[in-house]
Amino acid sequence: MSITEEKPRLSDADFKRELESLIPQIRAFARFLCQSDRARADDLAQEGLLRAWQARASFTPGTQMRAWIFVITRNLFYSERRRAWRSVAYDETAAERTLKTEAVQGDQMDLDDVRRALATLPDDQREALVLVSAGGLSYEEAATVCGCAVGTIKSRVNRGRKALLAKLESTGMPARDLPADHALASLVADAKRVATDR
Amino acid sequence: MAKREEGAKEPAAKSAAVQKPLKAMTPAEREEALTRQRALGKQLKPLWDDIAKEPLPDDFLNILKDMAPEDGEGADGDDPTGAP
Repeated sequence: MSITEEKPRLSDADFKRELESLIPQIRAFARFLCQSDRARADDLAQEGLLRAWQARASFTPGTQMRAWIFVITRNLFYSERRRAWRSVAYDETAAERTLKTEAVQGDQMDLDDVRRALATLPDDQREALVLVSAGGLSYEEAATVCGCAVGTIKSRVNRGRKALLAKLESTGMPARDLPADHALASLVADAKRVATDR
Repeated sequence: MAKREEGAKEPAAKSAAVQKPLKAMTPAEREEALTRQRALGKQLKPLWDDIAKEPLPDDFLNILKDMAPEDGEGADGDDPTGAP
């Protein structure tokens, strides 16, 4: 193979189609990054889309476009956060306060409980947990997005789950609603995953 | 079977999932912890899906309209990730 051979690329039309199909995923990821600030998240997602379009020539067909654009979106987010750290700095005290004052009674976790508890996790754990458990990315994809090793992502997901459970339990929200069907079926798979973390 | 330390607070069954490393758990605790963690993971999926199902705001549609295919031109190939 000649070293001067041009890198294959998607046609613009194909690239645009694929990009368009990913918009809901990009919005979801941005929303998690921005901790439910919808307007800011959509601004971030739009900026990510534009960046991706402008740099479409550098995308390698056959690779995961989702991970590629998530990397773009994530880097935009952290760059912006570094610039404006005062307005978006993580406020653990406030997050804890929110979690405690808004805890619901009863056994059942609802989505708001989980969302609030999620907001209290460290960035790296929340990010890994969101990408893998919420977004359905593979560990490999999530590692690409976060720029770390696959083992690191597995570890963060594991620690994130434990931390999230601890948060929920500490505020009187036991994670009891465990559907029996998937719980047992997933047990073996989970045990294998955890084993590989070590 | 591990003996509980004298005077230790009676742990609720749910706490094993968050208080002990997996290796220190009894098989039953380990099973429960893994089941809880997995179930929690399943709770996260709807958070993502709800957002992904939202109707697309006009701003996104406008951006798509402005993306005019121009194969061979206009794609700058800069580092798209903006990695700092």
